[in-house]
Amino acid sequence: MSVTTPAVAADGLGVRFGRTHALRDCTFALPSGRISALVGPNGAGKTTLMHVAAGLLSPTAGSLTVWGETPGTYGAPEGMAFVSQAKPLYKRFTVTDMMRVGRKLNTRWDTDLADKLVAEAGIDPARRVGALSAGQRTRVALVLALARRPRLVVLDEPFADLDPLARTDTMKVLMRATADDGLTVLLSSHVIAELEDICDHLLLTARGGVHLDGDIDTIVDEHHIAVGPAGALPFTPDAVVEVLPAPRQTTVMLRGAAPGTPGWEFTRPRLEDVVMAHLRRMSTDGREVAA
Amino acid sequence: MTWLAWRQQRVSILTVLGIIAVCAAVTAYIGIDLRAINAENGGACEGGACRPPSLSVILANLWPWLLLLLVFMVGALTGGPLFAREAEKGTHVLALTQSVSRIRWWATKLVLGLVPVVVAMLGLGLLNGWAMEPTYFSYGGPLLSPIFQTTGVALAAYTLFTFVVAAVIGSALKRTVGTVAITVGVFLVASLAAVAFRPMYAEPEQITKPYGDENLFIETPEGALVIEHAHIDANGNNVSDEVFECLRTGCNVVAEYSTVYYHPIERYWPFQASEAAALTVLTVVIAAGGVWIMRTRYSR
Repeated sequence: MSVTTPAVAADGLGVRFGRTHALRDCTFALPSGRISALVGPNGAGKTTLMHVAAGLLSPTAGSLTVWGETPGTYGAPEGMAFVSQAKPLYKRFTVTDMMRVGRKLNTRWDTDLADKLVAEAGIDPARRVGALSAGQRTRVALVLALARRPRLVVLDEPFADLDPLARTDTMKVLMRATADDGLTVLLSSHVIAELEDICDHLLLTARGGVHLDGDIDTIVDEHHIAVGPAGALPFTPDAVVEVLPAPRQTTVMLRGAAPGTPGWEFTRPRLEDVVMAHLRRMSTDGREVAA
Repeated sequence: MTWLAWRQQRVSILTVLGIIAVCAAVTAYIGIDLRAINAENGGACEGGACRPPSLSVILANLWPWLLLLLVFMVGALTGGPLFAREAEKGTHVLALTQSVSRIRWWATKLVLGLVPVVVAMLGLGLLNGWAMEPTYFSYGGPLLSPIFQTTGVALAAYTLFTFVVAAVIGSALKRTVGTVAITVGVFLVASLAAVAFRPMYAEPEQITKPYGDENLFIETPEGALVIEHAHIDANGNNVSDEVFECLRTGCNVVAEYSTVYYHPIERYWPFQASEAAALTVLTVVIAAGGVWIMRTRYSR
């Protein structure tokens, strides 16, 4: 497999439950060796997308491939690890037992790495999983994923239960694995500010569809915050992502418009601003963007 | 994989085996005490004063019903949560995203859960068959329900069936409570169907005698399963209804023969084999359904 094969690629991917479309016509390609962020409001289909990648769900339309292969019902695709939102562990098992589970259920298992990561997290291996804090359980679930030495790790809201220190530690572990082993990571999160630090690629989904898919720097470069006088906007409607009118000035999030319109001040947005603008736009559900 | 299945189920398996062991002890007591009572000279009543029945006799009345309940509990309460509880807690996602195929995971859990229990029930069933023998004289015989289902190999066959049914329903429903409830229904239907179909496992034997007062109900060999008493007139019609009517009103009857359809006690083991085979075939079919559910619906 060449380096340019995308880690996860979807083509017209659709997943339907009864009459609801959890995912509809999604097409994207996530680069290998990078950390990609999957962002979107609740119900956007992020978990569904990850479940398809993990082989837990079959698409009802289109396709999704991991390293060019379609996930099936033979466990997670070879070389891939998945940690679901619930971070499932057997509560009555000790941490040592969980490591044994990992060793017994997997062909590739790095015992030394597992022990090292557990020790790094400051967890006593003899403790029962049920007695650990939520953050510690997340760390254990992550160890189970990383000790399989996968090429791709898919994490559904990995930072949700972590305190700021644990979040930083976990991010360091992921970044180290990406740098040292060429690990590809796909993770979802609601806290966008911290994603900008560790992620290179962004996939924004809303209501089952893909709205942004690209390198984070490229996406942010494409966008501008423009502040100018109230009144009619001198921009093409296609370029306007969001308008925030105020009594004496208007703030606009632009995409693809070149800076330089006289009377308007252009600044480079943060990733968070760009994502929030798109999310808010998606949630207005077709209401007219105020002109 | 075997290690994980054992580690997850060891408490429940050992508990059930313990309960079965206690039941075996009670069964042995019943068998021994009944035989001791039989060996004593003299009956229960002497000179107008009757001894109260001993504990083993009272137990022997209830015991087949309690064992039926045991079959249901072992099957439904051990098999039901097998996949349902994993789905309720979300841990099935963990097991299904390692490097083991989900069918192998399913089969290992299923087989490891049921083999010790079914084997133990097989022993208990055979023991119960021995224990109940002294009752056949007064209570009819081993072909009657519920003695038939709780002796021989039938006890193990019903346990196997109930266990797999509960496990497969649990994997479809993904809720433990609902699974046990539905398994109750399936167990009852299957039990009643078996009782209804049992007389058809073979062509019944028949004894025919000329109609008369002493031959109103023909006596069958000891331990036989009586299916039907009938009274036939000269034209070959079944006139049993008229016979009983005339017994009340005192009219004249026109029956020629009395006949009885029955299965002799020798048919006990062939019938056990038939019923166990039928239950096993059903179990295999349901297990195949379980494989399909595992492939398509379990992880949605």
